Amino acid sequence: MTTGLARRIALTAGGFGLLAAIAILTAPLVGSTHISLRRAFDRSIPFSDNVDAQIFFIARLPRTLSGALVGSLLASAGVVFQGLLRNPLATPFTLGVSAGAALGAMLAITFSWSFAWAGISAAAAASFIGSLAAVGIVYALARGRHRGLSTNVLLLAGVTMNAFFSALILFVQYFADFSQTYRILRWLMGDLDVSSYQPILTALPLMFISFAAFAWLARPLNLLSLGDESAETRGLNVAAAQRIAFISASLATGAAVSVGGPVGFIGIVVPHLVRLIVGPDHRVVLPASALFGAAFLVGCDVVARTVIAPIELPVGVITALIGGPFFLWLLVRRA
Amino acid sequence: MPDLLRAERIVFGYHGAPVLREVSMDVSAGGFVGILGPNGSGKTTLLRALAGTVRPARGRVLLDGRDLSSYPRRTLARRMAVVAQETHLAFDYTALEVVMMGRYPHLSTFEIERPGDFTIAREAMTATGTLALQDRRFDTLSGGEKQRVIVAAAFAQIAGAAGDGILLLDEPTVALDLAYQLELGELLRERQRVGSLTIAVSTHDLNFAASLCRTLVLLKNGQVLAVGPTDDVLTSPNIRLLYDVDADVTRHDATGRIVVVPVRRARAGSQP
Repeated sequence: MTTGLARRIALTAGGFGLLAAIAILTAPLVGSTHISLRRAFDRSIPFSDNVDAQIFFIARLPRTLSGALVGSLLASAGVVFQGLLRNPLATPFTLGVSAGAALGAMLAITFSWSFAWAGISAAAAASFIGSLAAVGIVYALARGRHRGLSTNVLLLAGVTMNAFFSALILFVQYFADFSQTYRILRWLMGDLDVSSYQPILTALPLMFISFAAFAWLARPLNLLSLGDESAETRGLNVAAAQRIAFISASLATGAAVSVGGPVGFIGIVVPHLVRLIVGPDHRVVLPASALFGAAFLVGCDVVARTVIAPIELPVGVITALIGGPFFLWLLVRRA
Repeated sequence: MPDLLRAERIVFGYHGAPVLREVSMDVSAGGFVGILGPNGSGKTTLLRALAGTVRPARGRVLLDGRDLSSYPRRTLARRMAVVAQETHLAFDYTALEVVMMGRYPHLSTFEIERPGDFTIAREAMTATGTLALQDRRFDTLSGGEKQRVIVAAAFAQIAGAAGDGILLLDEPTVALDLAYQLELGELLRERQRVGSLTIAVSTHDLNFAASLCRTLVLLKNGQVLAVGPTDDVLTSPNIRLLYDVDADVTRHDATGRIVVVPVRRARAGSQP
């Protein structure tokens, strides 16, 4: 358990990676129409004649991949927020960061901002700015507190931020086309109703940047859990590490929300289960959470698509039904 | 002995309220210095300035004659370790994981601890009597056990600094009961005996300081009241000035150490 960290990282990444791969490959097979994996990958049938391949690659795979992307981004952003704020109950959703990102994305969608910069869409950029603003407020509250942000302040700040951003989101909604309202409502619940690879491709650069930052942050986050001053006397540039954590986690949340909306509770359920299995070392927890987050959200989406088929629920309904009680249980257990 | 660490007329304040006013002090190589003073006298801030975690508004702190702020953080961390007053962890690390964090300044960005780092960590845990606790969760340890694990992390951090290692401890006895206080004192003395280690400790505990420190800095309202060898500085008049308390200072026959017995609160008229 304590020796061979490299082996531990490889083992957990391998294990959770396998889980994610299985989830991504099997999820597109599940649905109202039965298809076979073998036929979908059968190259001898022309694609235009291969209905199984069409359903697999056009209808279901983009949605599954979006789920994997959103799940891994939100789960690992949750790990970083928890380390940064030194509180295991911090998550993008409960802190109101997802709501901030959602407001940004809604503004971009409602007013049809359509610039793109370096392959990053207006919606993704706006949701990044929204999440950055929300994290900025939470971080300002947390600063200068020696023992990290207390759970009380954290929860109250989160409730307030969510209420505040929800009000602004409702306000913006009045400017939206009436026909868009139903779509927006679903999206705000957290929905992976994606039918092209475009949103995934635009979120990918953001994902790479934030994951590169997370890789660097893994060891500093261990030190930060000792407290700012202890981290500094162990050689860490605390201010720089916090700034990088703050920006990269906002970036990850913004990218995730621009694809799937503010899907709730992934950032707390996944890191907690992962820590129970692999311990608290961020160098193991971060990659494991990213992979397990992907598998978890893809799994939740399968349930969302099939539980009252042929109607498809927004996946956020499922994650909230699992995550809500889980969060309360954690809260009671810690008290 | 040359001065290893030196504060020169440092001035510091939080939000405009002055905490340190032109404080100067020296820590010689292999020395054991106590920073003594009542609550709010600025001793923790002085220790932070020596550690480089707060930068004085005026004056400077020198390490080996070079300005402390000119050292890269990691270079400094390999030589100087700080034991904080209390440590609260946000996650359930084991005692060994906490001690291993002392090795982080020795690793490059994506490097992983080598077997040698584990050897050093386990040696430090053996020295502090915490090896048996290595797989226990840090949060489940008692106050004294936590303190010893943090001291082990500090030893692991400056292992390899040879004779140049510096250990700073901030109010180390606050969370400890009497037995652990004695144990910690014994541990520090022993560590100084086996390898030359330089120690500075802030405390308000007169007898703890008297039993360990060779030199003392008496601090009151952010100013140095007296500085010098423990025997010369720890006198009844100085204690009255420092704490407004009348105290008898005697020598304990069996240990040969100075013992301070507080007698009564000094009368208002005798205050400076």
